[in-house]
Amino acid sequence: MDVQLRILRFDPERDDLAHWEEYAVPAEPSDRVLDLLHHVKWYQDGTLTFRRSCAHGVCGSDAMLINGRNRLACEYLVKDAGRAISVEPVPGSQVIKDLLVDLEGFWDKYRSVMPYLVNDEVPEDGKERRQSPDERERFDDTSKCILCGACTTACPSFWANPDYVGPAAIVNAHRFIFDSRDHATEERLEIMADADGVWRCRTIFNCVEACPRGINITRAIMEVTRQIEIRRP
Amino acid sequence: MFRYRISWSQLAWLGHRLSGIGVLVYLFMHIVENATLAFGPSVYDTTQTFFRNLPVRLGEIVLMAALVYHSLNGLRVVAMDFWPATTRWYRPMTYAVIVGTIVAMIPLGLIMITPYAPWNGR
Ligand code: SF4
Ligand code: FES
Repeated sequence: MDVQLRILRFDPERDDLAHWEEYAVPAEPSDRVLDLLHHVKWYQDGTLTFRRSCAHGVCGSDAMLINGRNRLACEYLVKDAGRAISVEPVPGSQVIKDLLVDLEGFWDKYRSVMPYLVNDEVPEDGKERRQSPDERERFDDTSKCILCGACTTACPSFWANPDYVGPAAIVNAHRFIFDSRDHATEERLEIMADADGVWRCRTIFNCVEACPRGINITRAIMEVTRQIEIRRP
Repeated sequence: MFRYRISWSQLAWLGHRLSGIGVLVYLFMHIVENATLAFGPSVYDTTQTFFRNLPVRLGEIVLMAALVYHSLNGLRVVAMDFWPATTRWYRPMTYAVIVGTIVAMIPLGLIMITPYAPWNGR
């Protein structure tokens, strides 16, 4: 069967505005939207530009707005997407070319939450920092993030205020805030308590609906918010 | 961003905002309306006659629905704030708020419309 694929295209060297282009692409129901994009790029128009790397839902590089929702092109199947599929760059982001958006701001926010283990003490036995299964479980959900950005770019609060640190960065702050081995909880909570931090969450759940890893992002945001409130003198 | 396909939970938030603004606007109107009492009973009574008719009553029913919705949805948001684990049920909770508003509005709407209803022998 053929799928009608609409792609919102933009070439900064030729276009002032983005425009739709349609492609008829042969596809099986078990194909992924990424396969359709490959087909266009390889056989119809080599200038089509998009990110992808692993093609198996691991690297998080191909989040796009597909049929009106943020999803990974490599995980969304034709049998679920239907015979008419529209593909656009993720919303609220500066488009560089076609489906490629500028993620610098996204990474800046990610870096701002210190997404690494901070602990200068030598472990008791000199080798390992031990953790009970319960302590590990505490941040299990947020450790699954692949940093695709589908959540942040689906968030109306982020659309309204691009300075909002965003769900993805909060998820990654949560992952370390609730890690019993980490020592930088206070600093991270301080960053999260900023005016552009967790308070901007309006519990709209677009992030949760978009997350390809099924992370309960709003729960993570609320847990960080609770920590800030509990620790306030 | 207007291309994003709206979900029930996003709609719930939008409804919360709109009902909040609606109730706020009514509140100001209400203050002005009551303040006419300062000009004496006759001025107050005349203003009140503007508010005693079917279109206004229909508006009041919408206002009541906005209030009920805003309160129920507010409780949902507060619950998720205090007990983050409840976010797991955000979808059923959202549906419950919508259904709850409709169910509450059936008797409330009936009571409110009765003075203007044909079955009231008018
Ligand atoms: S939380 Fe989910 S949607 Fe957000 S960046 Fe991580 S994997 Fe992607
Ligand atoms: S290409 Fe790696 S997640 Fe889709």
